[in-house]
This record gives sequence, structure tokens and C-alpha cells, in this order.
Amino acid sequence: MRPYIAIIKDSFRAAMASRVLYVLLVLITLLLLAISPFHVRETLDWELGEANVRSPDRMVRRIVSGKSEMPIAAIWESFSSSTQEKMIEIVDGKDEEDEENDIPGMSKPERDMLTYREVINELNETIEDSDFYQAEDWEKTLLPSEAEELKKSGSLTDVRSKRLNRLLIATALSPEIETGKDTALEFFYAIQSLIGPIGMTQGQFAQMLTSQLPPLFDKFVLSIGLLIAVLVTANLIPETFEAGSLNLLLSKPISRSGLYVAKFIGGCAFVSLCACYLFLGVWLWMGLAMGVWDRAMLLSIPLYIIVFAIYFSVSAFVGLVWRSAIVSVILTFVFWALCFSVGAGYGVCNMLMVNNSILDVVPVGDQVLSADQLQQIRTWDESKGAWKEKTEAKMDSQAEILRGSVMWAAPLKEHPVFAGLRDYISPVVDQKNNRIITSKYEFGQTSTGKKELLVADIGQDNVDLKKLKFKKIGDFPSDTVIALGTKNGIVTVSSDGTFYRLNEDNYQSAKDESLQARGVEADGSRAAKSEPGTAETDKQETDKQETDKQETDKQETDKEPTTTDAGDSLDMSEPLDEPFELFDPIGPSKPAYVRSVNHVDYSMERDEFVIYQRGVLKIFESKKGGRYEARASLTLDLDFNKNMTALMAYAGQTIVVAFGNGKVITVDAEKLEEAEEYQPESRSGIVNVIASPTGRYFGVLYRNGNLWLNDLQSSDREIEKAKVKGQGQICAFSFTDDDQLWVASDADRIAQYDLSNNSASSQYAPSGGLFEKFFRYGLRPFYRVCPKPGEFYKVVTHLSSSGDGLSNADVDNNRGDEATNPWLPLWSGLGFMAVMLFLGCTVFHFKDY
Amino acid sequence: MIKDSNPAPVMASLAIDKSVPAIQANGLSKIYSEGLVFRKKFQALKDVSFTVNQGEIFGLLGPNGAGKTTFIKILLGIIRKTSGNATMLGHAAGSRSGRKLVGYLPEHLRIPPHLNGYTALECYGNLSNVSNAVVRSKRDKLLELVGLASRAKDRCGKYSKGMLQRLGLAQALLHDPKLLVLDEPTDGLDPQARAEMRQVIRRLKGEGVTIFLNSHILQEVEMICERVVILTRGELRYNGSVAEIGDFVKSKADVTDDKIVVEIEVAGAPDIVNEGFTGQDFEIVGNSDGKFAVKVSLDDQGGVDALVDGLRARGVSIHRMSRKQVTLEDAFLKIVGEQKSD
Repeated sequence: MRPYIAIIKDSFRAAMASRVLYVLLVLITLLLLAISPFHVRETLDWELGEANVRSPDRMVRRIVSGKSEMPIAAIWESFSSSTQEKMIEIVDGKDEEDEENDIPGMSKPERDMLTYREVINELNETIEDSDFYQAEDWEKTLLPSEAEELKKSGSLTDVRSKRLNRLLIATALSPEIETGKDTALEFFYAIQSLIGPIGMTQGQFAQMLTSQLPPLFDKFVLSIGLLIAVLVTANLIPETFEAGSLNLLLSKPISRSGLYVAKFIGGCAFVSLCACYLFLGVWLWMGLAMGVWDRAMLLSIPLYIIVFAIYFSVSAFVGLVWRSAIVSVILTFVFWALCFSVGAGYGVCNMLMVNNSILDVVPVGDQVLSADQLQQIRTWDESKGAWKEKTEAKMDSQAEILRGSVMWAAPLKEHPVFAGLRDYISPVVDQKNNRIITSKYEFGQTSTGKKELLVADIGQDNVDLKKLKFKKIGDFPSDTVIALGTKNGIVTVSSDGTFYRLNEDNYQSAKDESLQARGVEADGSRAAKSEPGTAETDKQETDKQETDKQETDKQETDKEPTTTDAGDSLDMSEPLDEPFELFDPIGPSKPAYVRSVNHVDYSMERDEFVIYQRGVLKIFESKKGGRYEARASLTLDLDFNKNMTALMAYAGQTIVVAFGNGKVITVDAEKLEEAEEYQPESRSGIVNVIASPTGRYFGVLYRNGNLWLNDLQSSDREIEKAKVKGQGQICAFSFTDDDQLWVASDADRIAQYDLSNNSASSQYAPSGGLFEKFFRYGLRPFYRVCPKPGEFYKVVTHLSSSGDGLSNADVDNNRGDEATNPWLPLWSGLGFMAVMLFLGCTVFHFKDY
Repeated sequence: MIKDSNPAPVMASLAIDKSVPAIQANGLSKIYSEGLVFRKKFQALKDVSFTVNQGEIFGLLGPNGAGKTTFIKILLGIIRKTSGNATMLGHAAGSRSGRKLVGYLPEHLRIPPHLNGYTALECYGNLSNVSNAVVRSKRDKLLELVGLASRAKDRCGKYSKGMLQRLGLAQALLHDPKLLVLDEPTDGLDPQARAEMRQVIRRLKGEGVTIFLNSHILQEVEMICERVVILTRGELRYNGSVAEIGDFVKSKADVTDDKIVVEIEVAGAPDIVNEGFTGQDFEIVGNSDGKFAVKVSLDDQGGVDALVDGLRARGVSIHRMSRKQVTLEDAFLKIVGEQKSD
């Protein structure tokens, strides 16, 4: 080995003798000096941001309505008189146009928004007032334990006083204002505070920093560094192959391949020195100033040496063949352009595939419906071997055009234009009434907006899905988050926690009316506007405040115009004169806010709903009259941030909660205790959690496309990777009533598996058009083997301990981008480098000099 | 300056096995091919066979393009032979085991400019699998031998061409080679350094090292080599001792050319001098200060005596007279000239 080590050592000497090296080291030093004053300090979360207010409108109403009673009176007194007047105007004259107070060019909603901001600003001033807390004002208020502890501690520091005030205000105006995180972070540059306390934990900050820093470094600092490195080292091989040098080297008792590889490794010495200095510096800065000691920065050193080595393998090979530094540089940049083009082309095409991929799999008997990212419902057309869209649920042409213009650039669900998709209601099978309901995506739709109810009858014997016809019957209740098929038909849950059941009588009436409006003969007459006795009785049972709120919601709903959509196979352009009340509220008397469609599920076996709220499970059981009321709640013993993304499923007696850090917790709904805890993946967010209707299985689909299954009847109850095709590319899954598993993978392929023997019984695999074939059999395989030196930041991010749920319990992998195969850049890069080295060694071995 | 005053041996004691030739070539041929599609072929060596014995200084001569460097590159494995075979100290030419025993000083040596005398020796020593400790123990002696001791810590980028050649010789000796292949070793050296280089070479021979020398400076080869081969256009034209090359040239020449060539310097009136040479095959090769240098070919010693008598009888003064020998250069030019005329 001595001769080869001598070659590597010589390359180090050459690097050390290079002036460019010293220039780079100076530049890195300047960069480190520039960032070193940035630092973060942990403090208490006291500042109230707009994001901490759930509903500014409700907050203002709450303040105005409670201004005469303590403790809100104390808050009211702290506002300026002008702000008090504006708040009263909002409450009293919300729907009236006051021309005198109009600000030119500003609409009322815009004026209100300004007022909300003023209120929040003044609340912050109140929080900063150390004299705000007066014991007598708060003696009748039950304060959170943290506030009690602060009170007991006697004299408070400035920050602790602010924190106490924040807790007091949040308690008084609960639940409109969040109490905030336990800790907050304040950012400084030297002694200058840059950003005030931001409510986040150190773990969350670590995840943010380690996910954002590598791409930034990769695209800016390292790009320049690698450019310089390629230029500097381009002459290394051609210089070696000058006759006076090479003949002497070749006369030595060493192998040519060894000489070439050693020279190649030695060429990386230059980058090694710079990379070590840069990443060690950044690692120290992150640790000392930011409190984030992350291994990814240290692992970046070998990784970025590999990135350089990929480029250098091209440069060295070209230098070997042409013996020209200029040709080396030119062809290395051609190689870079090729990698960039392939990566960009793949990114665009893959995004198109992702945006066309299946989001929902809905088993109907032994058939299946699929819904894509835009909730376009599709059925399988056996004759064409392709999915066919149900035109009734098709989006309007404006949305189609916009979809076409943005779907290659970003995931549609994350695009602001399609924000309404996030709150869309997936197709649900109502087994009791043999129908499927869904909603139609309306372009520009918001979470508080109205959603159209589309219904299709499937009959007793499960109609051929190709003949399925969706009809618009009416609208879902306002703010509907989810619709679920229950023992007694369809039940929807609104964001305020109210459950609604589809009123069958009114549904039939509305259906008939809808058909008549379309000139279709049907039996039955239109029913009167719904005032069902049971619902009325139920309403009396609820407390007054809640009833008022629901009434307000209903009024708002009634006032909204009926959507007039055209272009479907059924003409739905004629709005019904007087919309029916299709849904009856069915409790609960003490609703629990629902923040996400993933926070609600229903167990058919127990006829119970469960709602997840910041680490607490609230279970609602069925009561007399079809109502649901709270049965119990369970506070999960979570050792991480409770605001973390959580997805939930409930079937049989098991509640499954999966978190953004990869943890999966099962809860026995009967005993109300945590049963098992799993963490099959710790670096990937979660797409979906579904429990089989029998409660025997539950599945967790991670964002990396891996599906994990747990058979709760097995002896070990261990979670295992599902033995299905397409692992790593699974986009959706579902269970049937008889524990069959449907899995959608590779965008639009669906297969059915018998879990007893893991065999596939049905498969729907469209052959695809020219684009799909080009992508599947051309671009994607080529991209996989093509080196991806520009994507190594994904490996760094993936290796970050801050992004690992095992190391950082606060990590939320559902936030931020997910690298589908984070190791791919490394393997393809190493493979390419090996091929280039092999080619170089072969040419060198057989060539005469 | 190259020093040869150190009495201590430069090399570790070498055992010479006379039964194993230092270099042996049998029917060695090399054809170069160029171009990817329309390949042009050029034969650089044609069936070359000769043997170099251990312990001798052997010269490889030939005009440009004769195939000398090709032969050396085949020996060292830098290029591959087309046919035939060659060995170095019993090992196949180009084999790693053979290269371990060879020290090589290439023509136009280039040493990376960031190295200095010490680090260059360390680097090339390591490449010959010599440990740093051994290099450190030998480097001062070697640098002193080649006259670079005072510049040992200077970067090679500041070295002259001659200094690089000397450093090249030092690195070639680091691993105590049995065979030293020197390709134009005195290229870039001043006359004094050349003389010192010759001394070093003779000293190395004395220590048992076989020297295989490729040089354009024929006088130098004539001075230090015992045997030479002459290549022209890839073909072996002469293989033998330097001393016998005249006889070889004569043996190859026609009988009419077997005359005595005499150079004679005379003083006298031009017409009288001209008269004295009348009837002879002569050529006036110089004329200065009333003296004429004349080269004349005579059939035998009787002709020489008659010429001297004739000149003296005419009152011509003879200042100098010498009988012309066949030098290596003459022979080389003769041999090469013959090849060109073929």
C-alpha cells in the first residue's frame, strides 16, 4: 500500500501548496465569522401572534360579550377606547355597512381584519404590562397549573410576568386563544434581538434548522465551492499524464489501476480539507450558538466529498483520455447540465404522476372506486384497461385549466389555489342505505365554505360501478370536516365538533325534487322544511350557548347561495327554491373542536366516535334518539409536542393514533388505556392510518410509500411491513369488511390482497398513455441510475438526528418535504463513480503511453 | 555539482549473477496503431534481439525515431510489445517484479513543483516501496552524490533542468537497483557536470550496477560504454563493443574503400602544395595562416612514405600529420547513412 499512500500524500501536499486552497479557507472563515454571532436563547412563550388566535371574530365577540364580568372585564379595560369602539362595531354592526366609518378603498372584511390586528397588538401590550395581574380579578377563574406555579413563585422576572399574563388572557378567552408552547425561542445577532420569542421547542427548531440548512448550503455555498474545486483539480490528471511525469510513475512497481485510483482519491484531498473546515465550523456554530448538535453536519463531510468525487470522476476520465484540463472542465459542466436536466425533467414528470395518483381507495363489494388528488372519482373500465372518471363529480373547467398550469410544479394539495382540497370530503359508503356519498370539489372552496353533497345508489346487490350515477342532492352542513358511514347511516362532523346525521326523509324529498327539477319522473312529494321532533328535543338538551352558535351557523348556511354548476352529465344548473335541511344535529352537548379530517373516526362495532385533540382522545358514544354524547376522555402520555401532526383510526375496540414523528400508539377503547406503542419508521411522516372494519388489522402508510400492517389477533401483535407489491410507492390503501386489503401503488395501480395468505386476488393496472410509458420505462429508470449530485442534501437531511423520531421526539416529519428515497442520490452517485473509475482504470490499463 | 569524492559505496552490495543477463531481447517488435476507424500502423521495432550482461555499461544508439525509447518503454512496461519477448534480470519485461530491480531516469523528467529535494525522494522512494526511514537514511548521501545537498529543501519548481536531472538520478538510486536505465542522463548538464555524471556512472558500475544508457552524445557513449547497439528505423544495425565498431564498419564496407586516411598540415606556396598532392585522392579541409589542412587517402604505407618524400623534396614544411581512426561517430554516421540509402 505504501506506493499508493505516497500518491495520496503527494496530492495532499499539492493541495497544501495551492494558493486557491488558502483563498477558499479564508472565504470559509469569513462565512463562519459572519454567521457566528447568530444565536438563539430559550425563553418563555408570551407573545401573541395571529396564528395563536383560532378565530379572531369569535375572540372579539367573546371579549365584547364578557366585558362586564371578570376576568374578561380586566382585559377589556386594558384596551384603548377606540379599539373598544371598533370591537363593539364588529359585534353590533357586523352585517351593516357604516358609510361614515368606511375607509376609502377598503372593504368591511378588510377593515375588520385591521381591527383584529389592533386587538392582538393591544393584547400584546397588556401581556407586557407587569401590573396586569391583580389577584382579585382572577380569584374565581380556574387557572392552568403553569399559571398557578408562576403565581406561587412570588416576584416574577419580566419574561415570567409576560408568560403569566399570556396564560391569564388565554384562559379568559379560551378556546379562541392558544396558551402557547411551554417554551419559546428568541433569536439574536450578537446582542441585537432579531426575532421575538417564537413558540417552538428546541426539538422543533432543530428539525427546522436541519431540514432547511442543507438545501441552502447545497444550492449556494457548496455550489460555488464545488465549481472552484472542479476548476482547480481539472489539471490534476492531465498534469500527471505528461510524459516526464507519467513514464517515471509507470516505471515504478505499482499497478496502473492502483495509480489511477490513488490519484483520484488524492484529487479529493483538496475538497476534503475545505469540507472538513466548513462543516466542522458550521457544526460547532449550530451546537454552540443554536443548541443543535446534529450529526448530519459531520456526516456531510464524507457526503460532499462524494459529491465532488462524482464530478471529479468525470473530470479525471476526460483528463485521462484527452489529457487536457480545458476539455475536462467543459465536459464536466456538460455532465452537470445533463444531471440537472434529468433531475428537473424527472421532478416535473414525477409531480405530474403524483398529482394524478390515487389518494383514496374505496372498496364497494368486490369492486373498487378510486379518487385522485383532486377527488375525481374513477371506476375501472375493464374493456379499456384504464380508470374512467365519473363525470358527475368532475371539476369545473376553470379548475381544470388551473390544475393543468400548476400540477407540474407542486403537489396540488399544497398549492394555495387548491387550498380547498385539504378539507375535501372523501367518498364514503353508506352500508345501511346502500349508497355512496361524496362532495364535489369547488374551485376556490375554503374550509368554511359550503360543500355539495353528491349521492349515488349502489342498490342491494352492489350495482356495477361503471353504471354508478352521482346526483347532487344538497349541501353538507357548514364546516363539515368528515363524513363517515355509521350503523345508522351517514354522519358528518363539523369543525366545531357537532355531529350531523343525514335525515332520510328529507334526503328522499330532496332527491325527488332534484329529479323533478331535471325532468325526471319520480314518486314521492317534497317534504316540508325539516323540523324533526327528535332533533328539536335534542336541541333543547344542549346548552344555550352551543345552540345559539349552531343556529348562527345554520343561518349563515341558509344565506349562502346554492351553487349552480354546469357541465356534468346531469344538469344541475337549476337551484332548488328552498333547500332542505338534509342533516340533523345529533350532539354532542359539549362538542370538541376538530382541527383535521384525520382527528375523527368511528367504530362500527362500538357505535362510537373518537376525536383527537392535542394529546387527548375524546370518545363519544351512541345515546337514545341517535345522539352522541361524550363517554370518556383519555389524555395520552406523550413525551413530545402535543401539537404534532396526528392521524387516527378507530375500529373494533382499538383506537390507533399515529404521529408525525413516526410513533404509533394503540389504545384500548374499553379499558381506556394505552395498549401498545410502535415506531416502525422514525424518519418519515404519515399519510394515512386505517383500521379494518372488523378491528383485526390496522395499517399505517408513511410518506415514504411504505405500508405497515398489524394483526391485532396475532400472538406478538407486532407491526410488520405489508407483504404487498409496490412498497415504497404505495399511495393509498383500504380494508374491506372481510379483511381484504386494497393497495394503490405506482400512482394508479390497485391490487387486492387476501391477508390470510398475502396473495393478490384482483389487480387493476392501467397500461397508461405515452407519457406514463415514457415515465415508467424511460425517464424513471434512467433517473434512478443517473447520478444526482444536486440532491445530496436529501441524504444529509435524512441522516439528521433532528429529523429522526428516535432521537428527537419533537420532530414532525409531516411538515416539510419528504424525500421518497433519500438514499437514491448516494447509491446512484457511488454507482456512477464506480463505473467511471472502472472505465478509467480499463483505459489506463490498456493504453500505451 | 555532482560529487564523486565520497568513498562510501552508493549502493548496497549487489551480487552479480553473470548467468542471468541484465537485459535480453529476442525478436522484439512493436507496431503502433493510430486512429479509431482508419487505423494507421507504424512499426517502431523490427525483430530486435540483443543481450546486455550484468555489470556492464551498455549504450543504446540510434537517430531520432529509431525505436530506442520504444525499446526502453517496453522494458519498463510503459507500453506493450507486439511480438517477441524481452527480460530484465530474468523477469519478463514490464513485470512488476522486474521493475522493482530497475532504476529509471526518463528523458525530459518532470517533478511536481510543490515537492522539494527531500519530499521528492520520499515520494519516489515510497513509489518504489522504500520506507520513509530508509529514504531518510539515504537521501543526504544521494543528494550529495548528485550535487544537490545545498538545495535539498528548495522547491523543485525553482530547480533548473540540470538540477532536475540530478534529482532524477538520485531517485533512481534510492531502492538499490541492479539495473539503471538512463535516458539522456546528461541532457541539460554543463560540461563539468557531464564529466562528473560519467564518473558517477563508472562508480556505479564498479559497485555492480548494470547501466543501460541511451544518449545522443556519441562521444560520451564512446567514453564510458563497453558495448553498444545501434538501431535505425526499428532495426538493429550493430551490436558489439565500441572498440570493434571500426572493424565492423570496415568489414561492412567495400574493398576499394580500404585505404589509409591521413590528415596532414603543411605550409608552403599554394601551387607547390597543390603540386605535391597531385595524383592523390585528397581534399583540403582547412586553410589558415598560410597553412593547409589536407585529408588524403592512400593505398598503403608506401604511398604515405612517397607522399612525405615528395612534399619535402618540394620544400613543403610538414607541421603535423596523423593517421585517421574510425570513431564511433564515424561508424554511427556510416551505419545510419547506409540505412538511409537503403
